[in-house]
Amino acid sequence: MNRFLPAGLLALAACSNELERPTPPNLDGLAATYADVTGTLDARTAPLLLQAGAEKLGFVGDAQAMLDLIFGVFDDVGNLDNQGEAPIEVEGEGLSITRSALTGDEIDISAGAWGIYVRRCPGWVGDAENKRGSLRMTLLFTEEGLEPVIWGQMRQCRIEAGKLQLNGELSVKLEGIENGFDQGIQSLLIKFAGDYASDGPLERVAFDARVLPGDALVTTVELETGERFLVGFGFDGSVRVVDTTGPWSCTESACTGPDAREVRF
Amino acid sequence: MRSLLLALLATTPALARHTPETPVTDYSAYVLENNEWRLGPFRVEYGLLDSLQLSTFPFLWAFKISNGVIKYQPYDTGTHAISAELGFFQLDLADFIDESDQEAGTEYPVLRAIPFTVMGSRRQDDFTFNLGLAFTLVSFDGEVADSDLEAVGGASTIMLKPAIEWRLGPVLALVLEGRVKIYERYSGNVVTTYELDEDSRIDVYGTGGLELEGFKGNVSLSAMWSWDVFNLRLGMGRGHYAVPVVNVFIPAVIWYPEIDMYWRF
Repeated sequence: MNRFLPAGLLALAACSNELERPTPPNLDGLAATYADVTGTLDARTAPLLLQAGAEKLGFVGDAQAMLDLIFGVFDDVGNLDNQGEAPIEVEGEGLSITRSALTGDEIDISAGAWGIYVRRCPGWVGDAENKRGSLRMTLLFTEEGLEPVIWGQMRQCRIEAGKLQLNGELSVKLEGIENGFDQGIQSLLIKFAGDYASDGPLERVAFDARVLPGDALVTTVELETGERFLVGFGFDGSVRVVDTTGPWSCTESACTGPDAREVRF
Repeated sequence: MRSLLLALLATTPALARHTPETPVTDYSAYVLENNEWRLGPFRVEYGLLDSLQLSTFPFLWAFKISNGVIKYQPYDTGTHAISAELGFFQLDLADFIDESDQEAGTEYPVLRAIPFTVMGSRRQDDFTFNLGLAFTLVSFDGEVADSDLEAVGGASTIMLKPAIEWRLGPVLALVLEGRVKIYERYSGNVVTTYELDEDSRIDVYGTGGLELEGFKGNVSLSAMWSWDVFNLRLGMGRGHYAVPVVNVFIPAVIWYPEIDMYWRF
């Protein structure tokens, strides 16, 4: 028995006291669908597209109301990082110092750091604090700042714009932060699944949307023919469509696309 | 206490000296005989059986560190001996805070160390060759007051402990003792909470583990006088000092004294 003891102690030593880092959901497949636009906007597809995308446009409009809440996460975390006031910074320097006192060796914990962010939702006008609900997101830190995917739950989260109420799983993929958080977010992919109400009763939904940087919030719409487009709202309020040729801005009867091309329907 | 010791010195038979019947137990596989005592400011030991010895460190109790060591010697032929030693040490910060000042629900930091050592000794002419293998687990957990910081951490070490005793006479022996790191790993989790504003907060979890590579060790040379009852050890060592009990090496190479004194009867 004695000859097994050292191996047993080694195993115990190796696993002592270490928490398991959470694993983020994989949104690569979803992101790929946004990159795979196959449809071309013309007089045939334009009315079909706006008809097929009508319900999804409603979700996209509501997703815009969620953006402030989501961007608030990044603002808060960015400030936390930049202020450097934390005993453990996301780079792990703080814990290195703590351990240096013990061992004299620099230890980088960045690969193991993560955070649980909790924010009370804005609520509806007149809501008491306990009625506003909350957003609870898990964030993984890296040496550069954040892992691209943050995820968590919206718990009875109420937002005044659209009289929204959300209770479900929320995942967000940041795109374009590979060069560091300070470089800004190039794009944002949002996925929600759960109970949703927009000035009405709760219903079970699953929707996703993507922020086109500085331009619009869109979702994927696929026609019965299999042609896929991105449809949503521009930040100027117009309806936005992306096809194989690029982004279009649409009204009820016409879309204007790249090179001022126009499609009437 | 002093009068008691003087009385013991005057009345007890000559038990000590460097004889096969009274081998030094500190760096060897040997244990005290049944009902034999070893009293010193640094260590108190008692032979519960011919093969079982109990120890405690009085000066650690002075710092409110609970401690105890049990050493079992299953094999002793007179020239060869094997023993196993298991210790337990605990420092609870709550012991330093008046009960009236303790906050309900607060988990005050607790440091625990569990060293386990297997020793072998071979007595040959004027020499005794000793080799020990020490496994030590150190753990820390608790909340750090006023910083919203919770931490769990630990260290795991395996250390080789060779020692050669050269008896120059019945009273004086030279002891060449070393400690060599075989394995050293540190791991830890830290949870700290940031209140970002009245509506949001983030709990940051840091976790990590590191196995330290590179040589660490030390060697000391000391003189060990063993009179009838009183024993004195004086010497110097150089290398990475190994903190007693937790068996963690200090990274800097230093000179350090080797001092011990005790009464054995």
